Amino acid sequence: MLNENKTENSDEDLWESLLTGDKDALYLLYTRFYQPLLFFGLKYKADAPFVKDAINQLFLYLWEKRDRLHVARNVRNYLYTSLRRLLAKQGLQEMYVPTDHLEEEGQPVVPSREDTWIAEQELDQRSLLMAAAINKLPSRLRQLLLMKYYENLSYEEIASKTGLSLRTIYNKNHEAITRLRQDLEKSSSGTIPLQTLLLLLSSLF
Amino acid sequence: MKPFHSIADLLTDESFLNYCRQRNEADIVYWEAYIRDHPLQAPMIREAQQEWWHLAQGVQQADLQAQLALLKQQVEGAPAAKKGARLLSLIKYAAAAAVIAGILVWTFTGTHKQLPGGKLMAVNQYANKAGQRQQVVLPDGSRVILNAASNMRLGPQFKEGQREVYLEGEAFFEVTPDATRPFTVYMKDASIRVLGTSFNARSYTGEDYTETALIKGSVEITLKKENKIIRLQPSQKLLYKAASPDSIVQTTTTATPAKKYLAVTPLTIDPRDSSVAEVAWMENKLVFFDEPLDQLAKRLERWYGIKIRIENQDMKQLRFSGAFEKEDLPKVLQVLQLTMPFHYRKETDSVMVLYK
Repeated sequence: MLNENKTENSDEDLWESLLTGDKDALYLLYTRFYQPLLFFGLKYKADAPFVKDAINQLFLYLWEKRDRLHVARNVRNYLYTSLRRLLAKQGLQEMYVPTDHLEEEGQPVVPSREDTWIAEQELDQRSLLMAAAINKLPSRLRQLLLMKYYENLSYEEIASKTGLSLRTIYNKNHEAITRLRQDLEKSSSGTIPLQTLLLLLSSLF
Repeated sequence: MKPFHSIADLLTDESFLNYCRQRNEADIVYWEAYIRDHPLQAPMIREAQQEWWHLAQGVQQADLQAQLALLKQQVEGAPAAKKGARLLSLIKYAAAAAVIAGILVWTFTGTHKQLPGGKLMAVNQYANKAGQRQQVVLPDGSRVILNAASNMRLGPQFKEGQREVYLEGEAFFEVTPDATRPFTVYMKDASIRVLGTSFNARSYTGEDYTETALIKGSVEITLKKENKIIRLQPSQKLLYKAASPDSIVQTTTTATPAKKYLAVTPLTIDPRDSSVAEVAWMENKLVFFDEPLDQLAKRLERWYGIKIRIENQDMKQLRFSGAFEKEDLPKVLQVLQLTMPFHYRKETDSVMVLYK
């Protein structure tokens, strides 16, 4: 049975709940592993949309086949191995189905600490507020931000993908950032600014 | 150079973003100088840097939330309508890998948080932090010594006989001979193909040059961008720098387009004990020869696991030679001070500053 506070459950606990049909366990596993898997997958195939799609396929597969899956001794290894195999099949047009005898301890493929560190660290308050504000933007602006600050494309590259002019892209980006900052200004007024907090903390040591 | 009036101005400037991501040497140098020369703007620039971090993190988090929503739809909604969406999402984004590399580099050089102490090692991936070295025996019996701040990954089919490894950083290879199964080392700008041999390969992110030093046997180096193959004789090395791709999309006038560089030279051999400088690191010796200070500083950073800042731009071209064994950093700097005039001070436990 799942713990009330779900972040305290181990990967294996979540896996067990998933096998019994708990959707929340699936989503929690996904949240836990999405970014590390993305980083890991990009080393095999440098194509973010492709890897993201493969990750969703993998989790969808887990859900649909949950009554045929076994208890996993190491969920982490199972997920990495499955994704790696899935990506290895990239040339095939059929949707890949992992074999049932997939041994989760055959070949550990845990990425280095550095790979997962970014994903595992706790997000600070302002980044979370930023994420919420980004999701409130019109989808066109959100797409531009994603290309600029996640995929880190240059304005020229974005222009060639979207067909927009350089000036437009620059202006839209500028507008988006100004809006985000105003939005955060509103939502964070009343709380202690981060810098002050850090200053307070550092004075303790 | 257009003036920057707001944080949004900075966060939409290509050169400034490169500086935040520690991506482009020219931009990093430019912004470090700019901050020094515009002390009144420095606080705004620092705030913009922080805001960039929040923005980058926020975008990442927003992406997770969006993808999770998509999964929920897939799990709960109609099973149909997948094919089209999938094809659409297959559109390629060439820079995706570079993004990740950029972020990783930034976490190595950033000052936000120390990486947790535990080293996670796996059978097909080896990673060293600054100051670490390790010896590895691969499934085919080849021996690899991986230098500090370096990363090596085995290809997915390595065990099945496809001897391929991916290297970021520096490593010495002693490859088990097998004429039917070539051994290939892939790096950022070049790949090395060998049959059985000993050689040293070096390709650090953040360093422009790829270096291959051959001790014995023979190697074949393929330069990605030149579409060119170069063979080395024993005791030769190849130093190669690809033309910078960033130079094409620069929007500022500060960056000079980086030229490519290609040279085959003999190894650097110390006449006193005929040791080879290129592989001295394996014996725990810190050896450098006629090396400019900015490059040397990076070497010392990896060696001692500390951050080094050079305060005066014109110092970066000072050149140093030296050989050290088991000396700590202050000792090394003291010895170097005998050859060139400079000062150093310890700023924090993890930052050393060099100045005139």
